[in-house]
Amino acid sequence: MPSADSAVASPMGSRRRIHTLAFDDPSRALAAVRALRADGFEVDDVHTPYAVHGMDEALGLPETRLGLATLAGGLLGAGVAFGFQFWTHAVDWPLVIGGKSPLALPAQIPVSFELTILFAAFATVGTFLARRRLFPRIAVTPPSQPGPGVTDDRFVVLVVERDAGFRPARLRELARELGPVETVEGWRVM
Amino acid sequence: MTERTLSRLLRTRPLEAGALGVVAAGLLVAGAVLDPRQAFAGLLTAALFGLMLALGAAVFAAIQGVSGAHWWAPVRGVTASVAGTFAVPAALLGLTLLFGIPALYAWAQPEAASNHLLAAKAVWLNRPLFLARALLILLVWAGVIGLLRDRLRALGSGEAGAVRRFTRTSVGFLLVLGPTISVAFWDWVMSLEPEWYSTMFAVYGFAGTFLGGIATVTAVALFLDARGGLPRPLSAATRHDLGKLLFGFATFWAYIWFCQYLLIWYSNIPEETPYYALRFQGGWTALFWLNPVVSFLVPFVVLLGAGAKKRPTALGHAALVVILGRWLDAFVMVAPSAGPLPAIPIYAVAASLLVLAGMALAFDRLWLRGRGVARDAPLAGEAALS
Repeated sequence: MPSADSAVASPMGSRRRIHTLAFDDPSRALAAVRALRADGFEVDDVHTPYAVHGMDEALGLPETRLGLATLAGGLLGAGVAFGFQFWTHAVDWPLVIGGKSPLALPAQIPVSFELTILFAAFATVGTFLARRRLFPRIAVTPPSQPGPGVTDDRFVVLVVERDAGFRPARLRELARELGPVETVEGWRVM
Repeated sequence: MTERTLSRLLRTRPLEAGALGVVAAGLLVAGAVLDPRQAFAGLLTAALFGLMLALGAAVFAAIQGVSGAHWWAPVRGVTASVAGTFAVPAALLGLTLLFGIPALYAWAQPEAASNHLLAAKAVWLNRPLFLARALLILLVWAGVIGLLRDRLRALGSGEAGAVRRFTRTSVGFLLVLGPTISVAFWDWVMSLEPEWYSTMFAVYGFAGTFLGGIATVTAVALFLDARGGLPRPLSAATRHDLGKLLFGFATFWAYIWFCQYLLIWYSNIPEETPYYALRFQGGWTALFWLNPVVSFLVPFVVLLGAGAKKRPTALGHAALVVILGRWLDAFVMVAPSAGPLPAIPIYAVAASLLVLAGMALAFDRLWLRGRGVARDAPLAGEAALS
């Protein structure tokens, strides 16, 4: 193993030491993120089995704008659904069904409702994947290896040593107070 | 302390409030004798309205228990106390049914015997059996709500095994609620027009009840929070969650409202359409269409953005509009069978104000006594989360 330098030059870029604190309880992980950030450490990411209440605020993440994509998709879906039904029922081939007017609005609502949701969902997921560049055959930053629990039931907090001012001793001291079930120090190619 | 209570107005002006209450009660008693159809329809509207709010709060608590939710800890005490006000509309409903059956229900009138359909339905729709069912349902609800509130209290005091017992009681509550709320809405509301039936009516009643519970808990919690009356202030995250539930279940109510309408509109057969035909006459038409606007469209548009769900003013006003919508929904369900729309629905308004005043007094009593888990001790690990 290389020595404990915080960044080592390599042909692939720089390698940085990464500290992972694994917790078995969401509130401990949340308290750890708050304590680490209050102490001046930069928390790189948190891996949790489910969305933890308040974690976005604790990490200082900006408000997501993903809702705009959902809204746009929903409006498009409603427009397409109403427009297509209007065209087929009332314009292109008007049909009287069950004595209703060719432009019977109540009958159009279920289809428009479903397509609104479908388009909104596609727009949300598609925008998310595009923004995160999650496509087949696209190289993704290698995941950290904080132990098998990261894909199971552990709440894993990642702290990356970004510069020379990093205080590993203070981090280990904090980690003892925060009570993770496991701490791992590894390397990541940045 | 009184500033932080719902019944502040009643307490600071007890003479005026008392006089108004006596006048309203006198009006209802006089109406019950002189104009029984309108008066009892007004009383039933008010009882149904109050019931949807209080029973809805109990449903809200049970859903949190079943899902093992932690987020709702700051509104747990408010929820328990709102559910505890159930006794007020339940008592009014009991009295209304006890004295009002001949005035309210066509199946209880002498002409029903010569109506082939109603004669056949008399096996189910007859006065003794109807009253026995109503009494049983109200007692069962009082029992399970009381049990649920006991479990919530234990949850607040942090007893061992309290979470597990609360979860079990919540499951039991919802299992009991399903059939009882169905029978309740068939009997008390759908049988106002006894030749008509809708297989969606029970779930329509449930959707309105749950929506009423969410709106009431939200409105009361925000009211108390704005005056520093909650043990722990509501965080933006908690308001966001309440707003999401209010938004989601206003939409769910509209979905059920529309489903019932769509199927009957589409097939357009005479045994199903009278309910809507009656509501498309005279002044009812405007109120019928106002109902989805108040109960769904306004909260939907107001609460669409995440920011509005977190803002106390926007969320609080949306919750109040939804509560108003619950009243309108009860009125449009009940009152058309009693005759044309009165210029001022004086009995329904008087009875509803009495029910609201009674519920506010009951809430404050439960809340201030701390019986409503006022302390809201967080569960293990909850403090950091909320």
